[in-house]
Amino acid sequence: MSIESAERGTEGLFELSGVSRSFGGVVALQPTTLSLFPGEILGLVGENGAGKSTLIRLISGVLRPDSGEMSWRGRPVVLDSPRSAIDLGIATIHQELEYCGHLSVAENMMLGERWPRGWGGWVDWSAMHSLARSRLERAGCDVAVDIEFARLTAVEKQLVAIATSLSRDAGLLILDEPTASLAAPDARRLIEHLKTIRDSGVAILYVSHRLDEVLELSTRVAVLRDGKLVHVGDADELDGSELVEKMVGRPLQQVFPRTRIPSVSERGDPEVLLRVEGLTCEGMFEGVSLEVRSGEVVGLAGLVGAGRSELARAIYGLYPADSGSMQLLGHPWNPRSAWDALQAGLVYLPEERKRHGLVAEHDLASTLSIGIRDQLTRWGMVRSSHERDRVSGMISDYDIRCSGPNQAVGTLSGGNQQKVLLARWLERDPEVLVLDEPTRGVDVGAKAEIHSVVDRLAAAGHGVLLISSDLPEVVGMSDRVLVMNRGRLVAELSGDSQTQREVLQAAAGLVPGGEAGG
Amino acid sequence: MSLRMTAPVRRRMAWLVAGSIALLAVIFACLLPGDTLGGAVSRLGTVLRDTPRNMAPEMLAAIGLTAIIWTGAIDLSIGSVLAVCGAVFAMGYSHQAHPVLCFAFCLLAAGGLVATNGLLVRWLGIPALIVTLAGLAAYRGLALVLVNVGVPGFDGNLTVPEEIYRVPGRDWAGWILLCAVGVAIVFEWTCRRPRLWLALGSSASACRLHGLDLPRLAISAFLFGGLYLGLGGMLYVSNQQTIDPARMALGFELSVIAAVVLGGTNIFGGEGSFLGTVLGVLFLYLARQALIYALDDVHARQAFEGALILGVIGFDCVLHRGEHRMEELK
Amino acid sequence: MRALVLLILLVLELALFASVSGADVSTPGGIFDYLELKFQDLIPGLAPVLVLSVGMTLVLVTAGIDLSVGSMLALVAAVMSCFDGGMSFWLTAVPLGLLVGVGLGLFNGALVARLDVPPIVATLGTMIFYRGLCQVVMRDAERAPFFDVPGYEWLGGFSGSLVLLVLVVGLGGWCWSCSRWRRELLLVGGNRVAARYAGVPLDRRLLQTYALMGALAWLAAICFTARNGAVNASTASGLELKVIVAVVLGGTRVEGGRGSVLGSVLGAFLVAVLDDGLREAKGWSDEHLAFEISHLRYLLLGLLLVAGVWLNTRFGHRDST
Repeated sequence: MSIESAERGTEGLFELSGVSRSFGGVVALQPTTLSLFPGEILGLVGENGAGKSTLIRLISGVLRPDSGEMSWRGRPVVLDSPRSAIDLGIATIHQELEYCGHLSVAENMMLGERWPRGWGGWVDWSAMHSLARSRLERAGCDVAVDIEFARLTAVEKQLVAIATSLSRDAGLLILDEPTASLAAPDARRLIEHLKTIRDSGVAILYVSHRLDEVLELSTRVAVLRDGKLVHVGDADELDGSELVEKMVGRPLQQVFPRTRIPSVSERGDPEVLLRVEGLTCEGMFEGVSLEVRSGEVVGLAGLVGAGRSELARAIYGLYPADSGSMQLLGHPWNPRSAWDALQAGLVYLPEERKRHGLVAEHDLASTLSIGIRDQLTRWGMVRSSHERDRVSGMISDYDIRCSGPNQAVGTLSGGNQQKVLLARWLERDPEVLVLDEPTRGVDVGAKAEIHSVVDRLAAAGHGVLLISSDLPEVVGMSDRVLVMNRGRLVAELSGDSQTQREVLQAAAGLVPGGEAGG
Repeated sequence: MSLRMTAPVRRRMAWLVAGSIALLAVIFACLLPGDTLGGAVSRLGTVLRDTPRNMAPEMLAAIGLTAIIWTGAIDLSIGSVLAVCGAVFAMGYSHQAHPVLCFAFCLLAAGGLVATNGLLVRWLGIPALIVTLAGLAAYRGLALVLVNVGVPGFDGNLTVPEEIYRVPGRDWAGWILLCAVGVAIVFEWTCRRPRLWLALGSSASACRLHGLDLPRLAISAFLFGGLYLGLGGMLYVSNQQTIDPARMALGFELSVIAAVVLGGTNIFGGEGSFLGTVLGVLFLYLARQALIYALDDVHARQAFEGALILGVIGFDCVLHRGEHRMEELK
Repeated sequence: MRALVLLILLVLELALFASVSGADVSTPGGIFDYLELKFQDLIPGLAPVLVLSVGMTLVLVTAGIDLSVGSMLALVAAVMSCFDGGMSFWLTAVPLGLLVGVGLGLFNGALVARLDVPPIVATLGTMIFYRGLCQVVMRDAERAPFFDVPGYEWLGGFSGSLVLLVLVVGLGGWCWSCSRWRRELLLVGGNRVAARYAGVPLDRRLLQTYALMGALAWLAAICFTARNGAVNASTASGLELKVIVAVVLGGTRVEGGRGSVLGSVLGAFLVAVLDDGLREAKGWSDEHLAFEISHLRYLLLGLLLVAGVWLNTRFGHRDST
């Protein structure tokens, strides 16, 4: 029994007692004692590498603990597979959604269960569809059930995943970064929904980097640091900055350092590094015009699906635009490939580092050096001593925490992975950087480091186009914010109108008085 | 999503139906010169009548392979498995075993070997491509060893003159084929297991998270494949006069894989249909027949067949290329 | 680490076949003589497989595969055999052969890179297609103009093959390990999308890889015909299997992202020793076994493939690229 259980006099729905786990000699989670109660939301926060994902995987049956016990409704249990956890009533929604794209929504929802049978022992498809439909309705989601799952939008996929878990009469719902790829209105919808679920008596373990959400939702908050549970208490005991301190172990000045003068026009007329005029790509974005000047951080906000990443990819040269023109450093810019962009001084940090950026098994050195491969090569051959020097330089300059240049990048924490990808482009000393969700899934400490890097770049005269769905980030880091909605640029906000509310309104299509050209 | 098929698969099936009709027209056009209309029609009728018998082994094997490919695996050894079927049959025949027993051995041999493939893939954690590539070589050797050891006085091939052994492959082939294909299609439309195979090929991790038993699922696909391959092997062996394990079914796996891919099944798994495979086999078979009638040059046939397969597959890939590239970037 | 495992396997294999063939390996001098003889015997026959293995390593690294190498070799040899022997052969047939080889490789590359056909399907199809073209060129004939070409036969002998192999494998392998090309190919095979985002010219690299395979098929065709002197429609059938076994044994993974030319060389040796050993053991098998030992070759090749890959999966995790 944990301390909370003893204090309350009741037993938790799910209790961990002295549970620990190591990987190859490295302790990921020290012996931990924790209780989860029905009708409550326990918020779990911590930097990446603090042990959150290990804890989740232990509770959801993916891993077995090295020591300690777990109990469900007072009885000891051993979770030796995801199935045993599901059978018990523990449902987990992971960060990276896994689904079977070519199967229907209904089939995906009911993949692990028995399907309704007809008179001949055959599957009764219409009964199955109406069952799926009713589950979705109960979860407040209206999506057709007999279309291919892959045809749903990202938001719809997330909602269906949550509805699926709820339909299993889960007693404990674990959510791992559920709002990471949701835009604000959908995140809000989800949060309200979770409150309803909590009130119905389900226990929820809510793991997120969005501390404001955690504080709003949770009944109690638990903080993990370096594999150890350093704090468990009521949510109203701590505020945001105290929470951050507990997570990091030191007070943080601020997460959004701004050292340069906010208003660019006060500094004379800086050079326009990137100019886009009337750029259009059928079906993705239309008539977009923008400018990024030297020393400027231009934020690009919008809901998921507004076309921001598509715009960025077209600027980067991954596919040609149908009409419109671009200029880079004063010259007409018509990239036919990403390599053109890299050589001309424009880099793009993609949205999803695992899918678009890294090969998990490759070592750190190769991942870093590929970014500057042309600088390391003479007559087609790479000079390995030169490569070694540059790589170790990058590791120290950008404070990448690793065990050495031969470590596999897949084993680094999310924040360090992001730093690696950023470092290899920064080493090219580019003029313009297009960063797409640079701090998604990154812990507070690394987030602040990345922000200070961006700030330093701008101060040094580079131009940054910052695409972000994190409202505080896009409002706090940018000199001005452009907002896209359904493929068009609908607003340009700066100064007093650069607030989270204004950005959200414009993103949702409710344009405030006066819209920017484009 | 009517009939449980995705749009690309349905589109492909439409193309294959149109193509098959076109090929029949080509064959008819080749039969016309030097003959009356009535004569040409009756010869076309002969071609059509022989089609089920000659097409059956390939079609049954293709249906079996489709299930395996759905789960994200593959089996390159099916030609060599047929060679073992032939060897086992020959062994039974040379010891005066009853025909039913001989055919049962065939079925068991095929099922056993394909199941072995599946088990090795699971137990050793090696890609199916490698295991079955190894099987391609190993089973052919096994067939030769078996037939040299088990058949007294074997000298390269064995002739089976008795009519009773020809019954399944020659007389009943059409009916067996019809039943087996019908069972497969009904199975696909009404049961959960085929959908789970597709799920496994689409995302193994999603299946794991839903608590599905992945090894059992994967092996069941191989068992299904082995069953259908065994049926096909039975019909193949009984359609021949002589059994020559060194040369029989050489290159069989190539045409079966081509037929499955032609039929709209994604080579990486997760998408496809049995009906599409059936149409793919039919199309390839008619193409081969058309080549025989249209081209006098025996030597050019294989080149044309290869060009045809490449053409159809290339055309289909080009159609998907644009969306594929965009999707890839997301 | 992997190389060590392969070397041990090689030694075991040599020991096994030495005892079966009845050679005298009880003294160090006997062992040395036996090894020297083996080496001299093996190299000419090994040359085509080794040359192709180098190319196949690159192809597998990009997460591709090329099942058409046997057919490419046969077709190039067939085209070259249409010319008469004599000095002019070097000026007409040989360059044309290179052109044909590169062209065939480019066709494969175009299917994979431009049309986005999965490599296994594409090369399965070209395997049939090229073999068919070979039949068109050769008909039922067997042509043998190669030994009438001055200097050609030397390439098929021990010294000629050795020189060729050292040049191709040694020089090529060294260039490979230092090249920028290698890093890009590793990224292409490891994560194709990441390669595009990193500015790797995907289409061009794939085309180059398969075209190189075609060029190496030309080289292998020269090695092959220099030793055999003749070519017919079914030349080199089944060669692709040996090449893939060699490369996979050497530690290159079928899923891409990792590969070693040195490993492929050792793998090719393993396969060649197996082939040769089985041939030599014919005497022993005729006495003791009811079937021909060459039937065992297929069985053993398959087992070797599975065993090698399994060993690599179990023990080969830590090795870097």
